[in-house]
Amino acid sequence: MSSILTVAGVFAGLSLLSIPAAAQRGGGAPQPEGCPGAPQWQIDRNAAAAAARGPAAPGGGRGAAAPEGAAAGRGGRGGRGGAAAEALPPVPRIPNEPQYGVQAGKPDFGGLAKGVWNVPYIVNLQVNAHDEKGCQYIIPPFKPAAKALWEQRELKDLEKDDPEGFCLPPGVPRMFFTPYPLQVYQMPDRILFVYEGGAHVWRLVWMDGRKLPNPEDVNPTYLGYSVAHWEGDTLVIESNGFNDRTWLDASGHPHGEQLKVTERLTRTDFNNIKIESTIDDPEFYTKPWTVVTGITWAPNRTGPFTMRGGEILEYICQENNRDLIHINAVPHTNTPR
Amino acid sequence: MLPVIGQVNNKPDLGGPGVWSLPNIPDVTPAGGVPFNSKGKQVWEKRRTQPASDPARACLPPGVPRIMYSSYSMEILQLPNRVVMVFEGGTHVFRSIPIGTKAGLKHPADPNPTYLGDSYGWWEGNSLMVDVVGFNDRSWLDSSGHPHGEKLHVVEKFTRVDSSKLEYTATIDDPEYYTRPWTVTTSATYRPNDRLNEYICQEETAK
Repeated sequence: MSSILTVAGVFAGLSLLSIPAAAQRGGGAPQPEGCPGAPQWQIDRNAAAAAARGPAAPGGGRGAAAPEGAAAGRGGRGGRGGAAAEALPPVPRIPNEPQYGVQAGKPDFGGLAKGVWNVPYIVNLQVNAHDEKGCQYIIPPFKPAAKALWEQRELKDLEKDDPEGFCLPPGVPRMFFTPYPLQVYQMPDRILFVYEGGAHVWRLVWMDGRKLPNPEDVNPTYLGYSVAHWEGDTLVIESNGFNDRTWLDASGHPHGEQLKVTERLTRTDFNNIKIESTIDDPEFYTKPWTVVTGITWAPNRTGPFTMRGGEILEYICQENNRDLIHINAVPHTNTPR
Repeated sequence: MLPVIGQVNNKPDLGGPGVWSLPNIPDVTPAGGVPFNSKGKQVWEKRRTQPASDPARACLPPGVPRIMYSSYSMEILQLPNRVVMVFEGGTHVFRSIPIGTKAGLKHPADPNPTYLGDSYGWWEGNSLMVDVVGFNDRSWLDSSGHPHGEKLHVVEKFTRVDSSKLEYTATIDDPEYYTRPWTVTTSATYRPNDRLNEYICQEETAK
């Protein structure tokens, strides 16, 4: 088993090196009207990479419609798209019986089945997610100081001070970008997410009708305070009460303690949950903005990444964490704000 | 006769709208002593003089059964096919325990060694039994340094004797360090209408 873990680690490492190749974006979908083009930093980076490869290399600069051949579901480590074409079973549902409480009759997110949800590795929300209209590039509505901070973290420091590198919990909505698998347990009055990565943590979401607290009244935390309700077949999770010590993604999109996140989870078919995350933080952004990502179902079956018996593995990040020394990162509490 | 404490799927409800306070037991030596073999005794005597070497101080998971007496609180959530224990301490970790029948007890043939092991549970009357193997050798059984290796086999028994008390025993079997199985006994106390806090141990060590 340890060799499998090593392979997984190598894949994660390769993903890190290939920043910002948009390999996890599903290709092919036509762009809606009015979408922004590639951000200038990406054009510059691709040009620099092309120049470094020399004149024989195929043209630099990412074309607007360059299909990357990413499998549907843009999922996870190494893109295990699976056999397409096969007819999928219908989306399973929780029995419509009173003992299931608020979950009765709603889509089943897999907690009773053998399997895990694979989580993609979203390095940079600007290029690895879609917006709510389907645009493949996102220009966050930065306030000037936020833009400068992101540029410092991504373009100057090359992400070396990422708090997740210190084995701190990735935060919300970043738990869906990590790229470590998760399971979802639906209970009559709450939902529990358990995660393989992010230091083997869990996240509890209340569904007993309580409202979000006044953020002034709760201790600021990495994972915040979460409540949820169903809107039709979409689970809507609202969270606040965050501390300011996480980044929204590995590239360092910032947030502060005023952050409020709304995540809308829809099991669009048997294999996929679509996740629309709206980030609202008036300290750093001029208006709320939305990123659309997804997670993909990996049932209990044999294969290089699914020899887990349908369960998530135990990954303890803080065990022998040496990366930070090598990349000369500074302690997270000193990161610029 | 047990007092009524609620049921989930026809089994005693170990959870509810509250959390369990777990005790802090720095040395789990039972009244009759610990049946060390010579290697076990030697390792423990050395560790007792080196408390700073405790892996829990490096924010590593305390392991089983230590997580049940590590002083932080716990919540238990019951699904039809599993029991999930989530912990405030031990680096905000969880145990997700599949539930079957005693006759169906099965572990992977060669599990990857982990801090929390591979757990399988079943109900025996009103008690939840959990059989755990597949540990790594990197945790201590308590902060005094009682050792275990990868052969550790733990059988846990959780019994909610009334609304406020959860009795717990763990039988520890590890022929590498002990001459025979021995048992740790403790209990947890319920705090209704409370919730777990977020304690991130590595926040301090990351500085």
